[in-house]
Amino acid sequence: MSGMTANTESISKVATTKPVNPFWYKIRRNPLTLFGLFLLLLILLASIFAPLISSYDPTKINITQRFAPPSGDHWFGTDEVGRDIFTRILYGARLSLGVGVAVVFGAGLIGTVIGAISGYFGGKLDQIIMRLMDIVLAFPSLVLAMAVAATLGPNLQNAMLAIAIIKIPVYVRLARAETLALREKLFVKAAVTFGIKPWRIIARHIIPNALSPVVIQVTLDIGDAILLVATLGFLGLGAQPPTPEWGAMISIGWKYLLDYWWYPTFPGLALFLASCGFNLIGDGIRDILDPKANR
Amino acid sequence: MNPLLQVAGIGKEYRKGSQSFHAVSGVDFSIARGETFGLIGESGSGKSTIGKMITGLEHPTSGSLLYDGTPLWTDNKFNRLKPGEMQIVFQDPQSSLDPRMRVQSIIMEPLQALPAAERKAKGTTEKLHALITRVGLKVEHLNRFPHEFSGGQRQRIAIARALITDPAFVVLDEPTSALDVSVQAHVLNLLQELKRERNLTYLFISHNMSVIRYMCDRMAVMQKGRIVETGTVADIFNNPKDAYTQTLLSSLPSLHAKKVDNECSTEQSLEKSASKSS
Repeated sequence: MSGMTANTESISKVATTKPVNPFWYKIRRNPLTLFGLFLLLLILLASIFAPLISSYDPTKINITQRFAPPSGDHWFGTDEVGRDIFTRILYGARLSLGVGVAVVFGAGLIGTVIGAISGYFGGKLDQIIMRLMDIVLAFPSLVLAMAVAATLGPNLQNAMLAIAIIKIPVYVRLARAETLALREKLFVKAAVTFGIKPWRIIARHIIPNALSPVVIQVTLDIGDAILLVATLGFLGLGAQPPTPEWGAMISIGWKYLLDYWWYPTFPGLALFLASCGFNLIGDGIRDILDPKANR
Repeated sequence: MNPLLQVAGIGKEYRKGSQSFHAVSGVDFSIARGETFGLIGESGSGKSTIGKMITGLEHPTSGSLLYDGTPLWTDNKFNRLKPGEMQIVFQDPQSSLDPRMRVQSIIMEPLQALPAAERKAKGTTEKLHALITRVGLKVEHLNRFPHEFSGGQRQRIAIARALITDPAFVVLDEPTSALDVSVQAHVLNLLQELKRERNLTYLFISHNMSVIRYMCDRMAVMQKGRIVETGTVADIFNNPKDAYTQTLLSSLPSLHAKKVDNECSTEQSLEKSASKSS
């Protein structure tokens, strides 16, 4: 054992002399990506430190303070039952980011595995899986998400499930296309000649090498998923009041737009900035990882 | 003596709709234990397809393949007699190593197909270190990724990977075609030495006559999916019978050809007299 630890030490010494990762260098040279990163960090930090930034309770009702305009006490004003909108946006960021990331990672993981299996084995299994995915893709995504959420009952979990279902086929197709190319690579053929089991080839060779387009798609989709969660919330099919969810806040707030402009405006702005941030980052990562897709 | 590998009338037919293409047809040869058998032919002559059929990547559409007396294919299903018994080294070390795996995992990978006890016995750190040093790399290279190596070094990694399971038979599918000439010589010498040390049997697939002459004991010349001539390397080089073999031989650079041929034939005749006396 001691021989082994000595070895890893000498190896790690070698590893530190490697040149600097060009990834960060490229991000720094792209101002839009940098801006997206800045936006996301801002939202992420704001949501993590929400209790420290604001002393208000996001769900506590205070009728005497209803519809207070933006001021030093209430930066973004208050809503129809006197809750502080800034605080609700901060807590809403936790929800939106969490849900967006969770849904897209879940869909990405499941979709990639299904796509890799489908592409690797081919044949009838592949046909069945791809036709199923075509069926899902044939519906407009929002309509399908609404149908699923409405059928299962309006709450946040079902909204997440609905969004995951409409996102999975994209990943299945992506991973399958990559798998079809990888299956012909010599290192996969080599693994076959060694007698390695197919599931192991998929786990060790196919999925790791098919991952970079999936990662790009994930970063692009998180913004979209946040929007979809808000849309379902807006339509009353997502998070239910009094949960501080951006879409649900806009849904109630837009009725008061003319008299109390701040109520729907600030959650809308937060939503815009969050999805903007993820899209800018997604574009930036795509440009870095895939030089062929420039613009 | 029983041949280690016996190829009897194998053929490979690719069908697409009503069209069919015979990549390999009616190929016979056998390889004795400890021999290096060369398979030469131009691109598309079917030599690599034969390698693929032996290692289980493509199933033959006719004929039979016997390894140590046991058929390798039954009803288009490959019988993996004993995992790790037979290995292959591919032509292009660029794509035969997974770019996302470290050298250590790459070399150890074939062990995953072995039973647990055998895997442990063959995959010890000492054995791994001995093997990586033997193929001419360093122990600290184990933690690196394939893209950090040159073509020759990558082929050494591929050779180490093929040898980790202690195979008896190795298919070398143009192992040096993608390498620089100077590196080719080193890799060929390494393969020769490893063969002696480990009692290996090689099937050496190549389109390069000089490489075949350097490496092999017996050889077969392939053209358009058929074998046109089989024999010892000395016989074929000194006295080619088939017109195609003659063309191939005449395409060799001839600067020192005569001298080398003489040396070669004396070597071979020595061997012949030795085998006669034994």
